[in-house]
Amino acid sequence: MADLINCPVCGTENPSDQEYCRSCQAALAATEEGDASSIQPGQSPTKRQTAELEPILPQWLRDARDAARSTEPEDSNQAMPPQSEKTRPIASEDLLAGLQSQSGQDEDEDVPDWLANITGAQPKPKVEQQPETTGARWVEMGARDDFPSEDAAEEADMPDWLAGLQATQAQPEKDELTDIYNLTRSVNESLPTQPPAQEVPPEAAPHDFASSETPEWLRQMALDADERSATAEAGEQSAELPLDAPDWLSGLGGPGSESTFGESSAEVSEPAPAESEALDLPPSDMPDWLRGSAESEKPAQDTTPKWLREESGGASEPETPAWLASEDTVYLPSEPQQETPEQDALLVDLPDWLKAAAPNSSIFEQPAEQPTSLQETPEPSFDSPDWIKSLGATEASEDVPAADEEKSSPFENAPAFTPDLEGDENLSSLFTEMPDWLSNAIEPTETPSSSASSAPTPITSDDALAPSDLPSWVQAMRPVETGIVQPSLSSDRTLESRGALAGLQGVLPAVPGFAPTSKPKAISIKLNTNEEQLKHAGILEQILAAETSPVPMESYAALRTSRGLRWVLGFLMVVMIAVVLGLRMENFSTPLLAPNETRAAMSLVDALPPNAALLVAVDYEASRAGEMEVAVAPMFDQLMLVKQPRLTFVSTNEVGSMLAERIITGPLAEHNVSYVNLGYLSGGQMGIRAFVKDPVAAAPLSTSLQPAWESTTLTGISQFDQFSAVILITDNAEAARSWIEQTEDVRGSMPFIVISSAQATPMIMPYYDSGQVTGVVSGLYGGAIFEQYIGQPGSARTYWDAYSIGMLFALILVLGGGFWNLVLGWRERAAARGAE
Amino acid sequence: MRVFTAVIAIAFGLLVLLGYFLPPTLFPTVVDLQTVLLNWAVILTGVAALVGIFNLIIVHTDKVRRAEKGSVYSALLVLSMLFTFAAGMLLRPDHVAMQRVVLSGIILPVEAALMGLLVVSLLYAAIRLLRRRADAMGIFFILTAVVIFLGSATLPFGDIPVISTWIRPWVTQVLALGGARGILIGVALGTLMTGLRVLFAMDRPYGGK
Repeated sequence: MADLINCPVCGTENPSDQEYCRSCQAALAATEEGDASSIQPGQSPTKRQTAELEPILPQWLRDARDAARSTEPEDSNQAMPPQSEKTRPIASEDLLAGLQSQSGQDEDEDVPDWLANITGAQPKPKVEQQPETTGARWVEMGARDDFPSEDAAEEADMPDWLAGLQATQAQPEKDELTDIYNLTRSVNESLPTQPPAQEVPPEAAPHDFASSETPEWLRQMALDADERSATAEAGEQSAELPLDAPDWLSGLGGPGSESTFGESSAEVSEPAPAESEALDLPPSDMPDWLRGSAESEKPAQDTTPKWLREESGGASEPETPAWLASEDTVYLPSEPQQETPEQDALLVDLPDWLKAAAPNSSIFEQPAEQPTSLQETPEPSFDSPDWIKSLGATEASEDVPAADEEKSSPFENAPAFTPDLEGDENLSSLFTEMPDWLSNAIEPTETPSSSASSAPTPITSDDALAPSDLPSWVQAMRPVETGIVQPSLSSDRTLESRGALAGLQGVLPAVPGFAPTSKPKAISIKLNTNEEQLKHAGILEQILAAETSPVPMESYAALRTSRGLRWVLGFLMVVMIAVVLGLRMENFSTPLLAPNETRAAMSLVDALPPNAALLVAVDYEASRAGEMEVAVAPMFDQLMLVKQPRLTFVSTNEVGSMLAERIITGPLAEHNVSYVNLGYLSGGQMGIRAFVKDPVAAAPLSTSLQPAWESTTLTGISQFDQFSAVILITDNAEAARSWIEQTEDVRGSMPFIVISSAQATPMIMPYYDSGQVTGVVSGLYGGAIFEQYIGQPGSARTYWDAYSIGMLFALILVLGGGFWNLVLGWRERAAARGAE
Repeated sequence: MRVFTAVIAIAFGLLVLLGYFLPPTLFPTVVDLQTVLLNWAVILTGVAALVGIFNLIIVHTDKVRRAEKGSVYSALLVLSMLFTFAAGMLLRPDHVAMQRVVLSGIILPVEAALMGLLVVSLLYAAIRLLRRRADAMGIFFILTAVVIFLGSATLPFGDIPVISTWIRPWVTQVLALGGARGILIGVALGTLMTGLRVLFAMDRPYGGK
C-alpha cells in the first residue's frame, strides 16, 4: 500500500509512479509531494498571505485581517518559494491593464462613474503603483485562514463548465487566445526585464511558490515545467508548447522573463484544455461572449476582431483579446518607468474610459520591489467587489482539477471540496462569488502566471490598442463627454446612518451646486415708482372702481302725485254728470247704428216661444249693477211683453241671487214675472258643469228653500237642455267663458244670449264670431239700441246724455292734459340733459 | 302616500275628462260618475268658502281682542258679517228688506263709488302718461282711448261720422277682438297644459313633489 497513491480528485488508488490518475486523469504529483496547498478530502485549507488583496478589501475586513495578522505567525510566508524575479508581461494581453498603467501615469484622469460603480474601484494614489512582487493573483485574495470558506464556497458555486475549463487546461489545442499569448510573449521578450533591484527578497515575497500558500496544482505544474524545460531546448519553447498547451497560454508565462517561460511549460498548458472544454459545454452554460471565443477556436470560424489581429502586429494567428486576458492585469507593473516607450505611446491613445478602469487593475499592480510598503500603506478604504472576492476563491478551486484527468469526464470526477468547507458554502458564497465571465477569463492565465512567472511584465506598445482600432461595441460603450462635470460618486464617502440606505456608503452623493451656497437674497416688495407712475396708477384704480361700481338703472323720474288735479278731475266729472242727470237732458242722440250681435239678440228674443223656460244666469258684481240693469231692462221688457217667459235665476256669484231679485223687483217690477231663484251655485266651473249635467241635483231648492224643480215655473224641466234659452248677464269675461264652455255640449242648438258690460264685451265677441253665443247686448250702448228697437225709451235714454257728455269731457281732458304733460315732460328732460 | 294621492288625482281627472267625450247614452255610468264627482267638488268648494269666512272672522276677532291698529275696522267687519249672515238666514235673500238695506243701501253704493273713483284715477293717469313716457306706445295708447271715447259717445245730431261708424267698430271688432281671442287661446292652452300636467302627475297641487 505504500506504493499506492490516492487520487486527490476521485480517491482512486494509483501506483506511486503514476503521474496521472488512471480513473479521473487527475494529476497525482501534487499528492505525491504532499503539498499543503493541495486540499485533500478532510483536510483543512492552509493559510495563505494575501497582502496584495488587502487594498481592495473593505475596511472591516482589513481591520479583521490586521487583528488576525497581529496574532498570526509569519512563518508561513517564509515557506513560500521566491517568485520569479521578472514580472510577467501579463498586461500585454490585457487591454484594461494597459489602461491601468496609463491611468497611473495620468492622475488627472478620473474614473468614470459608471465604471466606478461597477467595479467599485477608485483612483489610487501614486504610492500604490509599486512594482508587483509577484504575479500570482491568488495571493491577493488573502490567506486561506483569512477566508476559510472561500475556496469551498467558490468551488461549489463555480459552474461546471468553469470547473471543467480549469481541469482541461492541458488540452493542447490551438486557438486565438493561444496565438495572442504567443504573440504577446514574443513581444515581451524584447522588453527589458525587471532590474535586479526590484526583485523581491525571499523574506519579503509573500507569494513565493515555495510557501505553503501556493496551490498544489500550481506547484505541480511548475515542477512539470521544470522537467520539460530540462529536456527540451531553451530556444524551442514555442515548439514544445503545442504539445501540452496552446501558444497563447504559454505566453502567459511572462515575456519579461525567459526563465519564467522556460519553467512554465506545465502551467501554460492549462488554458488550452480549458477552452476546449468550453467547447464541449452546452451552450446554455456558457456566456455568449465566452462562447464566441470558444467558437473562435475553430479554424473555419475565426471571429477574432480585426482590431485584435491588427494589434498582434500582423501575426497570422489570431490573438487573444487583451480584455479576455484581463487576469493578467494583476501582474502589470504599475511603475511607469518600467514600461517601454511603445507601450506608453499606445496607452496615451487609449480612451479615457478605459484608462479610468485603471483602479480595477491597479490593485493587482503591486510592485515586486516594494511588497512591504504595500502592506504598510494600504489602499484607501473602499469595498471590495464580489468578483474580486470570488477571485481568490476561484484560484483556490484551481488546485483541485488535474488537466489531463479532467479532460475525459470533468464533471463526473470533479470532487467536491473539503467537507468541512462545504458547510460554509452558502455563507461564504456571499463574499466570494465572482461573475462567471470574470472567473473564466482569469482562470486560463492564472495558472501559468502563478506557476511560470511571478513578476509582472511591463506593458509594451503591442499590448494596447489604438483608438482607431477599437471595435464598434467598445466605442459604443465609451461615455460621451457632455461637458458637465459629474461629481465622482466614489469620492463621496458619506456613510448613511439611517433610513433605507443605512450602512451604505457613497450611495447618495452630495452634488455641489444642489445645496444652497448662500442665504437667499431678500427681495424688497416695495415698488420703485415715481410721482407720475403713482398718478397713473391712481387713475387706473379709479377706472377700475368705476367699472365695478353698480350703475343705476335708467328709470323715469317719479312724478309727484297731484292730489289737486285728482280732486279737480273728480269734481268736474261729478258736477258735470250730476248736472246733466239733474237736468234730465236728452239732447244727445242715441246710437243709430246697431251692431250685428245686438241685432242677433233682438232676433232671438223674437224667435223665442211664448212661456218659454229661460235660464238666466246672473254673474255680475253689484258695482256694475247700474250698467247691467240698463242693458238687461230693454230686452226683458221686450220678453215680458211679448213672450211671458218662465225665468229661472241661478248665479255663480254670491250676490247674484240678490241682484236677480233686484232685477225682478226693479226693471221688471211692472211685469208679472214667473221665476224661480235657485240662488248661489258654488264651485265655479265645476258648479256650472254639475248644474248642466244634473240641475235638479245641483240646485234642488230655491232661495226661499222650496223645491225649485217642483214649482210651476220649472214644470217639465228636469234637464238642462229642456230650457228654451240661456241668458247670461255678466260683467266678467271669465264667467262668460265658463258658462259658454261648460254648457256647449249639453245645450246643443239652444240659444245663448250674453248681456255683458262694455268692458267684457271684447272678450265675449270671439264666442259670438264662432257661433257659440247667439247674440250679445253690450252695456249702455246695447241697451240704448235695444230700447230704440222696441221703441220704448227707458233708463238707457235717461243716462245717455250724461254718458255722452262725460265721454266727451274725458276726451278733452285726456287730449288737453296729455299734450300739456307731454310738453312739460320734454322741458324737464331737456333741462335734465342741460344740467348733465 | 304621495303615490296614493297621485293615483287618486289622476283617476278622478281621467273620469271627469271622459265624461266630456263619451256620450251619456252609451256610457251612462261614466257620466253619472262624473256628476257625482262634480257634486262632491261643489260641496267641497262651498265648505271651503265657509271655512274662509270663519277664518276671516277669527283673524279680525283676534285683532279686535289684541286692540291692534285698525281694530275698529276689524270690529265693523265682524259685526257686518254677523249681521248679514243673521239677516240672510232669517229673512232669506229675496226679502225686500234684504234688498233695500243690504244690497241697495250698502253693497251697490259702495261698489259704485269705487267704480267712480276708478274713472277719476284712469283719467288722471291718462293725462299724466305723456309726461312720464312720451314715446310712441304712450301716444298710441292715448290716441286709441280718444278714438273709443269719440266712437262711444254721440253728438246731439247723432253718431260722429267715420269715427262712430268705421273706426270704433273696426277697433273693437278687429283689434280688440284679435287681442281678446289671442288671450283666450292662451288661456285655453294654459288650462290644457295645466290639466295634462296634473293628469301625468307632473304637477301635484294636492301635495307632494
